[in-house]
Amino acid sequence: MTLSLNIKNLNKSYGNKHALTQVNLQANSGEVLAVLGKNGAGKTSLIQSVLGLHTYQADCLEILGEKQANHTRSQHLKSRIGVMMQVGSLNASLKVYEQLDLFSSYYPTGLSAEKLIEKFKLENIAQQKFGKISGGQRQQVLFAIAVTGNPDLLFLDEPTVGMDIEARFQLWQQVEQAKAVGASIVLTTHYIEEAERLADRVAILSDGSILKQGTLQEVIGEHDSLESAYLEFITQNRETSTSESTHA
Amino acid sequence: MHNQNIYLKESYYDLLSLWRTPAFFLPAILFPVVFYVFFGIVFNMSSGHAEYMLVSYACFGMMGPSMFNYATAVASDRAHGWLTLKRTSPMPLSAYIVAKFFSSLVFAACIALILFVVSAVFANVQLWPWQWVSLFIILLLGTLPFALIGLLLGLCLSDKAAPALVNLIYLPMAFLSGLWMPISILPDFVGTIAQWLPAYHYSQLAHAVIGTDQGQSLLLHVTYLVAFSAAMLAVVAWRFQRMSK
Repeated sequence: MTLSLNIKNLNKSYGNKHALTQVNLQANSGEVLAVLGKNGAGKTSLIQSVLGLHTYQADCLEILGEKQANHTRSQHLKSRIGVMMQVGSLNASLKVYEQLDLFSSYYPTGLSAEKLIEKFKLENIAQQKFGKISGGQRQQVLFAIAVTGNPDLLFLDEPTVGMDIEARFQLWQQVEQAKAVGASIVLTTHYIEEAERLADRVAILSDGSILKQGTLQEVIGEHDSLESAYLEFITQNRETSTSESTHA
Repeated sequence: MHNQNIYLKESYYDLLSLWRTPAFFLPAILFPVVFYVFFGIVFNMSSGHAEYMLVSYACFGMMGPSMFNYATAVASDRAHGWLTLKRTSPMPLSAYIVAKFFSSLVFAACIALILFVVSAVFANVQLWPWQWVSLFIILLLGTLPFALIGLLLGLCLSDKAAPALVNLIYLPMAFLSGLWMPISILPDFVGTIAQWLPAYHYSQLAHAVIGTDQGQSLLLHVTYLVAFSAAMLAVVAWRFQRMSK
């Protein structure tokens, strides 16, 4: 098993506000790493830092074996990464087929639009404009786009938000398929059951810091479930922060 | 070959997307034509008036799509996360920018050709073939500084604010550069302001083709437009850098 993502002491601030503090995180190929945290915990900042969408400070950031000296990512590296953003949208006036055809052209060995439509069963919406399809269908198209380049590393930022149960289940199956062919998947979510279902490893992020990480079993530890483990780590962290600020 | 395909697809789909947005292309094409019909043909006051107005309204019409397409489309792509998604893909950012410029050029070319036909058929404008061709080329190439203004606005403003601010810049700049009324009949201070506006130098280059310019050096106009474009390009590059902070 190879390390596809290795982050050491990553910090990100927006002005005086610390979004990420001393984040250490590893993801392996063929595994799903679920980053759990409530809204505003820093999940999206973390993904955006790794993708080089903004500046950050880190002792080490290695993606697919390539050490990143700054926030610029090479075209070659980008062609090995797939991304589904939390607030992802596409040009509303282009049809689904056209969106897939456009993104397919970005990757030298990407799947064709026809293949993607077949693979993700998008035939009934292929000729509809993106602006006219439902929220769940949009998420499916965005997922198809994320895997267009057969990525070795796939980032899914809250992929099932707004999806109905059936669409969510379908997307989970697609994530499992991507994992089965050896892709490393970094999934941010605030749905505990999603992390329990998909994750091999879990990291709990709160107020920009990793509170706990390890295999699903390691994180659950002595607790009954991931949910109770998560709630305890969050509560402990809150109590520590409160007592520190009281002493200060 | 692969990168070439990205540029082609990006340009094709950008154009297709604009074509499917009548709210953009109908006013962009109709505005200058309607203005020209009224002020260049219906109120034709003197000989040479239709030719003069053809050049002025062609400049006015070409600036619009360049500024609006960039400003509104880039602001909207930013607001909806579409630009962020593209930045995570292996698509070169230049393909995105070139595609938008290509779409603007296609619309600008349509506007110029429609105006040329309307002026020749309804106002009996007669130019030498080299004049039609030169005018067409100058009109198209001269849209670059306006496209860069639009790009900068698109990178700085929200999708709701962008169209309003483009209008606030576009319409006064057109008036102060003598695109609605000849600069010679406007107060002197307007002429002084015009010297600092890209639209004035752009229109003067176009007017020089039919001999209706103010008689200044063509090199002055070209130098101004090149320097203005270079400055805008530097600000745009700075803005792109700031987006990654």
